[in-house]
Formats: sequence, C-alpha cells, structure tokens
Amino acid sequence: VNHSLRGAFDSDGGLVEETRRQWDIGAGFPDSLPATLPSANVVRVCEDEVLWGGGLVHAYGHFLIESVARLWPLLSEGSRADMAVVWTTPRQMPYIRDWCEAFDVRTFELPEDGVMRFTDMLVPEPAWRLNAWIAPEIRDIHLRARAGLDVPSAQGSEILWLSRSGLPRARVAYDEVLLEWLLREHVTIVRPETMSLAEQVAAIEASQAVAGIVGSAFHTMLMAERVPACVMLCSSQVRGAHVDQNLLLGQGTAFVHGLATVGAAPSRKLQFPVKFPFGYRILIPEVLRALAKAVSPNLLEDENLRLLATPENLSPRVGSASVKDELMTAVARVLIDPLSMHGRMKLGRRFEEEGLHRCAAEQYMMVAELSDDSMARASYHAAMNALDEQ
Amino acid sequence: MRRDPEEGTLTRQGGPSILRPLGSLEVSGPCELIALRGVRGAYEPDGRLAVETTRLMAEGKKPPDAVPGRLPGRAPVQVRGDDVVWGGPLTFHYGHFLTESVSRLWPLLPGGVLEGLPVVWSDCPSHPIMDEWLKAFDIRVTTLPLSGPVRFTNMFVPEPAWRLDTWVAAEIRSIHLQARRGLEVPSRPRAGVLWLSRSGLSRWRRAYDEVLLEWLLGEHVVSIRPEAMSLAEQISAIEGSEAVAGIVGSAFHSLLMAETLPRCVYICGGRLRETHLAQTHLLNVDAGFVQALALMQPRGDGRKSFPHGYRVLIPEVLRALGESVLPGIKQDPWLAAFAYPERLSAKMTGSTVSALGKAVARVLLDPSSMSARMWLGAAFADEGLHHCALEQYLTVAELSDEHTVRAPLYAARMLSRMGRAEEADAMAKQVLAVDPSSREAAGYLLGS
Repeated sequence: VNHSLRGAFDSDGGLVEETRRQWDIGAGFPDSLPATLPSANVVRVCEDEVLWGGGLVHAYGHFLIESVARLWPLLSEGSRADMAVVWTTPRQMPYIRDWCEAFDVRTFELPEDGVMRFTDMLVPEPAWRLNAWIAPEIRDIHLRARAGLDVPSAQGSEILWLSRSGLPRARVAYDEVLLEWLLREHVTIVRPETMSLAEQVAAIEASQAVAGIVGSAFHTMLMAERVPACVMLCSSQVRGAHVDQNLLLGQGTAFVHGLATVGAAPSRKLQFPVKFPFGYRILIPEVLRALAKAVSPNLLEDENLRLLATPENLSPRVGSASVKDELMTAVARVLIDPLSMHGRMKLGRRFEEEGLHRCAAEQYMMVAELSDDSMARASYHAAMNALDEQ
Repeated sequence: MRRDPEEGTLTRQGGPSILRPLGSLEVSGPCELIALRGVRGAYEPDGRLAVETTRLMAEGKKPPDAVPGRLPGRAPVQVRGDDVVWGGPLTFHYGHFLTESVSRLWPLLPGGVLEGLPVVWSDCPSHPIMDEWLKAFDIRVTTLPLSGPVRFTNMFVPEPAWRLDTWVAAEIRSIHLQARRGLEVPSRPRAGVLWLSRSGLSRWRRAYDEVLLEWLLGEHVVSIRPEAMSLAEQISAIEGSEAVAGIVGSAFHSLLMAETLPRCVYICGGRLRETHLAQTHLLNVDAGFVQALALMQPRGDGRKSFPHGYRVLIPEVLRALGESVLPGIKQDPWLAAFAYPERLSAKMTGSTVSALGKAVARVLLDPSSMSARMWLGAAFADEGLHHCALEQYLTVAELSDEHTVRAPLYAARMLSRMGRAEEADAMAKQVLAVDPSSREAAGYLLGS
C-alpha cells in the first residue's frame, strides 16, 4: 500500500481491483491508478490483521457514502471489532476527525514515503458502491458513529433549509438568497459548511422536514436517529446517490425539478471553474408550491408566498389578487421574467432601499454575470461593501 | 372586477388615455388646405403644415410620421372646390388602420354632419382587409393624383376619434359598428374560447412556444390565424365565441367591430400597451391582462419586434385560463399536470405522463435547456407532429451555439416532411455552411 494511491497491490505488484473505488455496474473507476506498483520500496511490514478502508475522499458526501463504506466488519463483536483501518490519501478535515472519533475507529498510520506491506489485510466489499448498490450496513455504520457523537440539543423546526448560498461563488445557484429571504419566517436556514458534524445532525433530528438544493449536505441524514421528511430541489437529473439513500432510509423524499438553466452566458464569461448548481436558477414559484404540497401545507397561508407561488395572479385580471408592496411586486416581476435584467436591477435597488444588501448583491451579481451591464457590477460591489459595514 | 395594470406586475407603455364621451369631438372647416399623395398631412395655403391633419401621439411625444414642415416644392396641379373630408394617412398596418386611419370618419355616419361627403386619404395603399372594411362602411373616396399637390377650398378636418396614448372617443366604436353592419359576416359554429394565434406569422413577429401551447390546449380552444382570414371571418369568429385569448397584438382590435363582445385574456410581456387598455375601457369588456411572456435570453440581442425574443409561460397561461375563461382545464388531468409541472417530479403527486409528456414538462421547467428542447423535438417528430417538432428545433437553432448542425438539420427535415421545400432549402444551407459534408442537408436543397 502506498500512502498516496487509492488502491492496494498484491505481492506481485499488480493492482487489486476490488480495493479501488468503483462506480456503476461494470468498469467505472473514478481514481486513476497504475496497473502495477510504481515502486517496490517496502519500508515497513505489518503482520497484524487490518481492514482496508480504501482511498479516503475528503469531499463531504463522498466521505460519508464511500470512505466509511467498508467499515461494517468493525460493527460485529469479537476480535475484528478492534481492527485498525488502512486509509490512503488521508486528509484532516474537522468532520472527518469528528466522525472517526465518534465511531471510535483506529486508523493505521501509513508512512509518508515508500510502500507498506500488509500480510493479513481484510478487504470488505463497500456497503455503498455508487450507482451499483447500497447495503443496510452503511446505515448501521453511521448509526454507530451517531451513537458516539455528542449531539447538542437543537431548537425544533418545521422545515430546515440546507442553504448553499454561503458557499463559494462557483458552487451557488442563482436566486437562493432571494428564496431564503422569502421563506425567512417559515424555515430555519442553516449553512452546513459552517457547522460541526454534531450540530448538523442535531439540526436535522430536530426538524420535521429538510429541504434545499440537492447536495452532499443531505447525506448527513445517514447519521440521524430520526429521519425527517425531505424535499430535494434538482435539475432534470437526479443523482443516483440521493435516490438510493432515499430508498435505504425509507424517507419518501420529494425530488422536485426546481432548478432551471440560465443559458450559456455565465460559463462563457467567468474565469473560474464552476460546479453544479452554478448556472442554474431556482424556480421559486414551483419550489413554494412543492414545499406546500410535500411538507408544509400551511406555507401558502402567508399571503405574499401565496401570490408568488402563482405570480401570474398579480397580473390585473378578473378576480385576481393585488399586492401594494413595491418590493413584492418587483420580486414577482423577476419570478415571471427571470432573464429580464431590467427587472433584476430594479429588484436590486428595491432591496438596497430596504437595507437588504445581501439580497441586492445577489441580483446585481446575476446581472453582471449574465449581461454586459457594468452598472450591475458597480452596484454589486457597493452592496457588498454595505454588507461588510453592517 | 377590472383593475388597473399598475397594481400588478405590468407597467403601462404609453398613455394614459382619457375616454371622451359621445359628442365631444369637433370638426374644423370648411377650410382651404393643400394635400399631396404620400405626404401624411395637409398644408395651409401659405405652405405651412396644418398640424391637426397629421397623426399625433401624446403631448411631448415625437409624431410617428416624418412630415415636412412646409409644402414640398411645386404649385398645385388641381384645385377642388367640392366639399371633402380629410381622412388623414391610410396606414397599412392592421391595428393602426383600425384605431387611427378610420378615426376621422365619425361625421360621415348616418345622420352625421358630413354624411355622404367623399374622403381624402393622403395614401392609397391597397390591402384586402382595408378594402373590405372601406367597402363595408360604404365610403366615397377622392383620390389624390399620383404626383402634384391638390388645393381643396372646402375641406373639413374632423378630430380623430382615437389619438393614441391621449384619448379615445366613443365615436370610434360607432364607426366600426357602421362598418360591421355593411359586412357580410358568415355564420360559424359557436366556440368557447377563441385563441388568436400568432404562430403562423414570420419568425420575427412570433413568440417561442406558442405552437406548443396551442397543441397542449387542443380542443379546449378554437385556434385561428387572423392574418389568413378575411375581416368578416374574423368578426364571425369573435362574435361566435365566449372568450378571446392570445398574445397581445393588433388582432384584438377586431373587437372594435364585434356586435357581441366576448371576454378577453391578453397574454402580455412586462409592459401593457395603453392602446389595449384604452380599448378595454371603451368597450367595457371583461378583460384580463396576464403577464405570461418572458425573455429567452438575458440580453435583448437579435430581437426584432414584439413578441420576438419572448417565450410563452405555458404553466402560467394554463392557470390563468383555468381561473378565468377556461375552468375546464382544471378538470383535464393532462393540462392540470402542465399547469403545475413540478408535480410531475418524483413523489409529489404520483402523476404519470407519457414520454412525450415528460419531455414537455422538462421544457416547461427548464426552458433554456437546449438539450431538453432537442429531446422534445425528437419526441414530437416520433409522433408525426412535425410542426411542433419544428418549433423546438428552430428555437434551438436560433438561441444556441450547442447544436449548430443538428438543430437546423432537423428543422430542415421537418420542413421537408411538411412540404415547405423553400424553407427546408434555406435551413439546409445553414447546415451546409457549418458542415459541408452533410448529405442529408444537401438532399433538402431545391433541385437536388
């Protein structure tokens, strides 16, 4: 085993395929590995029985569903319960540390350089192979970690919104700040990336439902002792991992097509690599209706939300409702005509007038990214400065 | 209950117009004025433009016609001493013809102060719809010579019954009802909701997804293409319907002639033209203005004229129709699904639709996704719905750089199947400019 390679090699130096991360049925290897061990410089030999954990992926979701998926033999009582786990490519992230401490896993320290030879290594099948299978053992693994986690008490909430709006620009969808502002009195908004693992689990267990744009934060539910209802906002494609998790947890998750593309403009202009859900905007009326239908029947008793859930009703027509609030009218215009940059600049100004600089900045930023409006960029910086001063 | 658009998401474009009561318009003259064919105004004997003879917009707004301030050049070639009525410019454009060109004819109505006098128009365009209307009104015309000014010593100049964005007078309705009485309107089966389609207009004057909407609405509406119909046929269709709906446009001005007035649903962009609001007030018609058009691109590049560049917000239109003139939509599970397309998501209501239905829903939820539109186009083509497929392929070809060969090629294929060889040829040339080796495209060239 080499510290920096996500696979193990047999005594002849050949790669042992079942030690690799594998996706899908058939060949689907996410990690690039040499077919033979590049260097046979064995610096240490271990003759104790150890468990192969695999390549440790530090991305939050992949850690929860793949990196710990081979630990199930440690759940059984007996001598194997105390085996050391061999993980390659380890990274020290707070949630990895918290999880491992909670599970009480004993990690085998690999040498930084050279090859480590193990004479008695157990290679369990992973309890989750992406897009291929999921086994109940993955839930048991996480429940053991949960049992060891010191979970603080959290205030109960009807809907917990797993926000992405505080993530780096390249990983944020348009209009999530706007949606969060609209929902502010009806949901508890958390930013999982700023919370400890225990705080995330506490917030989830204390909520009736969890909602948000589909992403790895939803995998924390694997650890929750009580699993809430769930609404995941997706593009037209639902990732198999979330569908599989839903089946495993028996959640009845509503996968709602609530994200739409905004065209090719942003990716053409920006200088940084982007990841899902960048380039998508949230379909706010559809999301409001979906939340009401799936998890919060009283949501649309809020008059503003009811109007925005069917914004065409704000048109002057027979029997329609009216809204006098200029800010809400500006919001409705953006919801109906989301690519109207004029509408977004107007909404940005309305937010600024109300001192809602973060909401304003989101609108200006969208105009700046989707059009050539230099005024939008200037307004964006002004709004961000005002936010900093606050 | 009718409400002012400014209460909602729409902003008014132009106006506001005041509604002038019957009898408040005036006629000036007889006076001496000089007119010249093709010049959209008449001149005083000293050569100054008589401003009241031109088309005027709202105060402070630039007049729509470029009319010289002084009589151009030559001395009059004719002098006419008979009484005539100044009709003003005869505008070819359908809506402007109905709202402006005929708006000075009110003194010619039966019992009017100028009844029976001939009318002088500054232009003499000919169009079947105009000819039909003028014949129905039974108007006498004094035609200006092809060149050279004519001096009229006894010309009457009525105020127009409709000055855009300024006023509309009750007389405009009387003018059109007079024409209506002279029109031989064919009988037509009674229809519920009449959809005034723009989908057959040139691509620069139509919105995206209207063909799709019309296909979805199916038998819930009677869809017509006014530009392909005579005036009498249009009036017949309107009078025979309980409601009229469509993307806002000049076809709605045909209501001015209808003896019975249906309810109206105007599908608008963010702006509502004052002309339509003024007409609604004038006719006291039960009308709704629904903002259900959205821009397809962040920037306005390439837009020609309204509603080009906009797409129809189909779920919003379905819900608006369901709440107003088409309550039956709510009971149609097929349409109800598309009115709330998010319910087709997994675990929402358990609704199931066909593969074609799923492709439609995907486009409704993600209208900027060109792959979704290509998929929908293919699904339509599989069903033999070539006109629906064509709309999707043309949308992709126009808006995206992702499918520079496939989208126009498939559009050419649909056009060829529909027997529209010349258009298929044009689209094939677009393909060949990018991929000269395309055998299929070469096969759609005329003469191949």
